Amino acid sequence: MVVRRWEPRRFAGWCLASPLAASALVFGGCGHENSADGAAGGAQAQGGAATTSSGGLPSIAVGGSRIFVASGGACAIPVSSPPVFLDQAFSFSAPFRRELYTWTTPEQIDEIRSQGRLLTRSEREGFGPGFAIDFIRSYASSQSGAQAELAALLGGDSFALARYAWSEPWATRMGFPGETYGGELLRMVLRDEALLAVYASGTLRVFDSSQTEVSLDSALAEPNRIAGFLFYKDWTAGGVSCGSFSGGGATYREFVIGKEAMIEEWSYRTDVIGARLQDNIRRLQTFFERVRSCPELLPAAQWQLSVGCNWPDATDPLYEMSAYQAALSLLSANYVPTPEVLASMIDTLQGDLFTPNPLVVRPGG
Amino acid sequence: MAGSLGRVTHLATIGLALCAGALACSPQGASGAAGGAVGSVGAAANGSGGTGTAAANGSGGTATAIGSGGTATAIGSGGTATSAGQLGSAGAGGALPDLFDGKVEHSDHARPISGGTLLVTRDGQLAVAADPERDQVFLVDLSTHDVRAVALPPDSEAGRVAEGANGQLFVALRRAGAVAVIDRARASVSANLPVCRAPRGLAFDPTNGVLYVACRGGQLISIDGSSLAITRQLKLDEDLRDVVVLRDGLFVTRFRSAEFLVLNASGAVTARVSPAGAGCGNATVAYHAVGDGQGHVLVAHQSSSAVTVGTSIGGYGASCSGSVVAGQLSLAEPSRMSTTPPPLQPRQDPLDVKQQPLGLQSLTLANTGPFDVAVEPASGKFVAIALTRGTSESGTLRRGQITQNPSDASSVFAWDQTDLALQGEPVAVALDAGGGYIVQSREPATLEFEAGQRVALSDVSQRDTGMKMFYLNSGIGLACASCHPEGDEDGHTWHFSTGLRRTQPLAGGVLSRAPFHWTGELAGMAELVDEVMLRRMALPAKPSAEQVQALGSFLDGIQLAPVEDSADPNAVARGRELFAAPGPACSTCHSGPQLTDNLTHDVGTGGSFVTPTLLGAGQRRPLFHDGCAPALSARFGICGGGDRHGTTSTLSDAEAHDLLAYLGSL
Repeated sequence: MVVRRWEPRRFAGWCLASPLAASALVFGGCGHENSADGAAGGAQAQGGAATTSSGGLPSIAVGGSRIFVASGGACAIPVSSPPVFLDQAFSFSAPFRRELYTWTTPEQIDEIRSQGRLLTRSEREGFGPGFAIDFIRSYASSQSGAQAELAALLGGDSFALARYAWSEPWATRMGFPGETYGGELLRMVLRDEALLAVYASGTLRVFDSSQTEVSLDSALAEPNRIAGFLFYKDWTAGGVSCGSFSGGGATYREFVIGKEAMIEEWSYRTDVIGARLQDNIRRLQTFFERVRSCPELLPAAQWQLSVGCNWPDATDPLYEMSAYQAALSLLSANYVPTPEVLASMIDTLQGDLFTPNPLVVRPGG
Repeated sequence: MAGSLGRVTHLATIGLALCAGALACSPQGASGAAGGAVGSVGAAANGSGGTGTAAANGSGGTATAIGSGGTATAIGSGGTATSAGQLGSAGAGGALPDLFDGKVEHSDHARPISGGTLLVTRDGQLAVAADPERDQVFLVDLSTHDVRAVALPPDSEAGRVAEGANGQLFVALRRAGAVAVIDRARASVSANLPVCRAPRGLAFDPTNGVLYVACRGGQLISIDGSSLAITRQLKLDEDLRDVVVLRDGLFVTRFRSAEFLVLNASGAVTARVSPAGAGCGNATVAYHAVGDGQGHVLVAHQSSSAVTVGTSIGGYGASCSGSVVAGQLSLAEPSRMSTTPPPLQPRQDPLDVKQQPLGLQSLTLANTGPFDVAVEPASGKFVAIALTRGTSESGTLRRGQITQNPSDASSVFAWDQTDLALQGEPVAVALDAGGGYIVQSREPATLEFEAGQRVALSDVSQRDTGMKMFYLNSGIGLACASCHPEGDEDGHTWHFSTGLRRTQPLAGGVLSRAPFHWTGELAGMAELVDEVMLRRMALPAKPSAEQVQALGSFLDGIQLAPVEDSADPNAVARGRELFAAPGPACSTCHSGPQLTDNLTHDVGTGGSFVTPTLLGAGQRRPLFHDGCAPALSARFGICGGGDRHGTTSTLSDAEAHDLLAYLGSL
């Protein structure tokens, strides 16, 4: 039996959990009763757009009912340094990521090794090509002009082989309940000249690696530079919808990389990957320590709704919990920041640590 | 009745108004009672300023204190502190009445209810009622109502009953680690079959003559009904509850997690699902599962709130589906269940919390269990009883029926609209050959028939005020037993305003573990009753000091469930030494007979908490105040707090294994 050991670090000082995130409303009802009551009021007063208020009580809509969320003592997370995930917070105003990580299975690793290519499959067995591809094809048929042309390109044959990825391994490892992607980690580095399409809020845009937006016409003039697209399954794509008729499906955002020629390097079981996993584990351990006395208090479905309705952005003032939310890729029950879920995530990533046996491939030579 | 049944949407909330007695009743049903309860103690029905509202909805006869389905639901907390003394004397109605008119009665043999102890034989001639408190099985001739009693070993805790072949009856002896074989004709025990330390579920398959035994320790044992030899032993998950024979396999439930397993003929698990809870709750506590022989299984279970639980007056009555614990009846169609998600588009799992897994449907009851269900195979008619009750000691029975949807051949089920008041303290229900219900009452020990007759099973009284308080519907649809099923714990982690709090165990001598609650804010039973029963559960009556003592006495007498002794005894012995050794130094705080020093410590687990008892820790899932650790082994992970919680980082893997073996044996 291998027993994984852990030793906590020390921390001091206090800050609010997440004044801007919708779920701060719930954090406001958490924590020790004798701590920083005044701060909680501020948190509630600044509650996010996902909520409405009635008689002073914030609320969110769940399954046709409107749930009023408790007020109470403050929830203050003790910290002595910036939020753990502050520098991983994502922003749609700067969406390009050159370094990406993708999880896969041992079988696919064998396949990749034998073929010497990263993009070997057009779909995951039993799941088809993926919702993002299906959606972008559907989007192409519903649009006209450059939007339709770009969507058709992304959903077409030249992107038939693709991998789903995110900029940090931890953020996709746990998947959704009943849907995980494997415990083998690959790293991709996109070329500097690569372009990235972004689907969000009902439209496609394109960015280069300097985070400069590029016109669709310019991008379409050089289609071979387009490495793939960032897909945000927001309410326009069937994700969480908010307001009077809140509901919808699971919400997530993920890179879909389908142009191997725009990958400068991909690798497997390198020291760099191992170090990134270790860094992820350390961050999660620190985050766990900080939030344990002030954990998420919403059930998973409500948490998905409340965060999905107001997903924090890196351009927002971020606090411990909102920075975590801003760094997420998948709004999944497997990422609700309760001690149990976080401990499970840490345990899983520790189990993914490996002895280096590097495979590094530079597709362009 | 069939004409009244329509297609049922998932988790349709159907109030089962248990107008249980003087304390819980009002002309408007239980909801009115809830409102009255809160109103009588004043100032609770106010949703402003962060005070949790227990606003009663008296319309429509619903029993929910807080409506769902479009009705605003306030999940309150942080209300103004109100002392128990205030609760006892303040409010519009003045002083609260005395609970049970101040009466106190005591029984040495009162035991928490496990329920599901009644069977009608296949020939329809005999009712078999197991009585865990009187250590007897009663055989009741359904034609003459003659009663024969079969004595069982003392304190063996008779549980489920199954009918074998050739006049055999089987009774699970939950505390004796055996199955009693009863000769129906002779009304005597012909054999005691040692099976496992804690047998729970029984089912006999007449087609192959095999008796199946589900054990709390996770064993699923097959016994040949003729030779009485064990022919197969599977090790499944812990906390197994019931086993039901399917056409081509078995259906097994787990108690606290309310997880359902489907096994094929070779014993492989082919599906594993849990029903979605009611409202914003999670399914918990699967009391009883019964099959109809037609491919359906009905499971009576609970649903426990997963949103913030208020601690203000009546706070436990304010959740999405009424009280923080609701009763649920789930209809399972094992042939439609699968371990893999349904073939939906990837990541299209809807966020609707009412979505049920494939092959499951549920109905909600406003009042909680323990409750029982029985189904008639031929007609699909079923009856369910809810066992919560007021001072009148009555329970309620409701009928329903499983029907086929002609359009797609799927099954649907629905309640009938009539609630029937029962007498006594119901613990189990069965249907006779004509479809009439038979209800077993623990006190007085009777069978109550639909036609109106009552048959006395025993004249030995087990009336106990403490037990009655424990199972008393406080008026908001729940009792102490709702969160402490079978007198222990439900494995649920609650979302309190103070953080996540896992239900604490009661079994094994709780009085010597004071102060109570994780942070130890309640010094003793009096404080506990004031804060929980009177305040949070809004009990509209004042228990006397003697009654509080009686409740404490009942709770203190609840025994720990037997623990499987499958661990290597040498490892257990080594672990015991390590437990007290200077390095881990576990016994510094986990000391004394209860393995607690009754003090609060901050051991790096997110705050200061009273040292929890380790008795029964091996069977408790999850662990820690916030339910962080899914298993004992996770104590060495991040949930355990590191070396502030005993120096364990220097232990070798073998030593850690030994320590776990010892902890699991407690």
